[in-house]
Amino acid sequence: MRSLNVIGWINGAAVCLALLLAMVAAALPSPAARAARRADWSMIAKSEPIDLGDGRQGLRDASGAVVELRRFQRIASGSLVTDGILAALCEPDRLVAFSSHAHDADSPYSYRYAGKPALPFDLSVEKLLNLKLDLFVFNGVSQAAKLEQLRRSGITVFDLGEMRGLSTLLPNIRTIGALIGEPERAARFAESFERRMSSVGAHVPTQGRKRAMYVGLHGDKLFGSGRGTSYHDVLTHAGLINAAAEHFDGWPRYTPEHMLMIDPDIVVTQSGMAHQLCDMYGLEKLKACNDQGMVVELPAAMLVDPGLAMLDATEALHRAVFGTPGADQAQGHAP
Amino acid sequence: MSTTQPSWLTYAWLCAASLTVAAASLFVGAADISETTISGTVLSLRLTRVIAAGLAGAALGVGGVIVQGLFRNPLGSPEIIGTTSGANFGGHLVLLLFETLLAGHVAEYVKPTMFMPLGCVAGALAALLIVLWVIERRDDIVVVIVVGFLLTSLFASMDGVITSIAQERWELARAMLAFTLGDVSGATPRQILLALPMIGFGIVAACFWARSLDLLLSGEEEAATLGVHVPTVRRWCVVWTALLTAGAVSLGGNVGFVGLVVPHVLRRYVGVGHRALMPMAAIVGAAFLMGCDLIVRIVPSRSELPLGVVTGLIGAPIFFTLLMKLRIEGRYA
Repeated sequence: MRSLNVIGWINGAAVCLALLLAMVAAALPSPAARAARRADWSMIAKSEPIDLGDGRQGLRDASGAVVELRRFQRIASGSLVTDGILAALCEPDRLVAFSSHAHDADSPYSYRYAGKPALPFDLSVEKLLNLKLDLFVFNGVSQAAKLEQLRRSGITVFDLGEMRGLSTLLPNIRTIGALIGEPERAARFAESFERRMSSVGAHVPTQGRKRAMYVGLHGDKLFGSGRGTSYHDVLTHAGLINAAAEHFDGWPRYTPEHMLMIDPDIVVTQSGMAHQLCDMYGLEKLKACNDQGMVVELPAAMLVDPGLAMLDATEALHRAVFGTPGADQAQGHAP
Repeated sequence: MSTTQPSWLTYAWLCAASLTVAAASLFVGAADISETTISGTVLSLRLTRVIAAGLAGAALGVGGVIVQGLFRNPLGSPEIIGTTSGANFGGHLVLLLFETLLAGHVAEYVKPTMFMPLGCVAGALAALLIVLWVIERRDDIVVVIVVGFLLTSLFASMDGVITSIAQERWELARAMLAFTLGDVSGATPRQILLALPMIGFGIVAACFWARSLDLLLSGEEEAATLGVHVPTVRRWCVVWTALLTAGAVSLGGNVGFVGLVVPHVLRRYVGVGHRALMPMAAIVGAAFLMGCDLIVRIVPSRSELPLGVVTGLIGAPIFFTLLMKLRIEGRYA
């Protein structure tokens, strides 16, 4: 019996020791984590260079890590937003690869990335190493582990942070401009983009604007967008009110009852979903599905992109709703 | 544990409790039903989801009783024979196919809201065919359990492939996740019509097999000497459990704990007799899931909590409490 007690104590102590060592190992700071001081963490990368001494300058990314500025020659993009910005600002021969979304068969923008390989969706480190990159730019939302793995492998990674529409896109443009050595071009591009976005629906009087909402239908599940999303920016800049923003932030999942509660004048959805949406049980009563309103379909690649495609989406939506001639991209339906 | 045949009063009381939950569910939700323009539509939407939750709960409750009786294992639940994961995989696969390869081609013939339910039924039937094929060759209860476990792992792995492909389309991946976590908010009358024959016939058939399951409680050999043809009972109980599961998953996605908790709770009050357990499990299972769906709508959150999360959060503590009570009673008996 006594030996059993001793064995029990030994095992208990061993378990405690194992857990203690595991905790210590987890708490050990990695080189990447040391670079990324917690106090400097933010949801979006900074576009103002910081002085690193000896005349060197760097940029702090969204994870808090500092990337030294130099003439990067082999750049890859890892997200939808960075694909568009890099293609617009950077010389093509410096761009090595784009994200997996770039070559989406349904995308009207895939021609921009022709001839460049697409990165795997899972951002495989080995495949990235094969490309011999000197800079990898992406929006690493919730990908801290992947970020650290890439950095440990010797790849210079710049994380731009969240993708939430104009509020993150404009700083992202300026930051990428600073990274690739074209800050003035980027600043002009950002100003022009913001001006064009603002001008689309500027002529629509603020009073009496129509209420609209974005809805995506997959099976019997409905998804939408509230404040702080690219969809919100597209709707509001097209001269509409995002009716969902009265109730929701971010990207909520709706029930049909939510839809009836909001009951917008206009529903904006992806190509091919208008008929399905108005055919869904209960939703045939929506104003948008009747003569009082309309359902606007926009190409998915344009609508779901929180990057430069927002401008095309805004213009197409505006054309579809306000009847400006030349609505070639969007189709408005009044079922 | 003794067997008590519940009185009609008990049934009436339980039915009244279920109807109260159902009635309460009609008056709780995001929309304002005092607004006359939408009140009719909102009430019909709520009624549909109440019926869907009730049917799914009844199916899972009865499925749990069958499985626990068949395997003579109180830890059994309908998921054990692999049809739940088969249904889950089928639903995800069909949704992915319709959204990618077949997009736009079949929407005229099949409503998008029916993609996943039809996939669920197909997936569950595929799993059932494999189980039946095995039973035909090795009629052994342990083999059935092992095959169920293997099928669950296999379908979960294949489902992982589907989900990883869907990740490239954010909303599609979210739709799959929502289905996996359970949800009856988007239920339609057509989905109910799809599931109703499977669940209705399943519950009636379960009551029909109740006597055989009662006899099986004393062991397969004893049951055989009492005239039970064990392989037949086993085969048909597996078939009906699969159909009940297919119906439930096609209505509410992956909803856990109902099939495990409901039979346990009932056994404390009505004993182990399956003839009493089956109808009671149908009523209490329906009330439990309708109640959980009501909570989903009451709990303040940005949208709605997933139904499967609520059944787990309520079911797990109930199950734990029952286990502890059984231990304490056993100690002082």
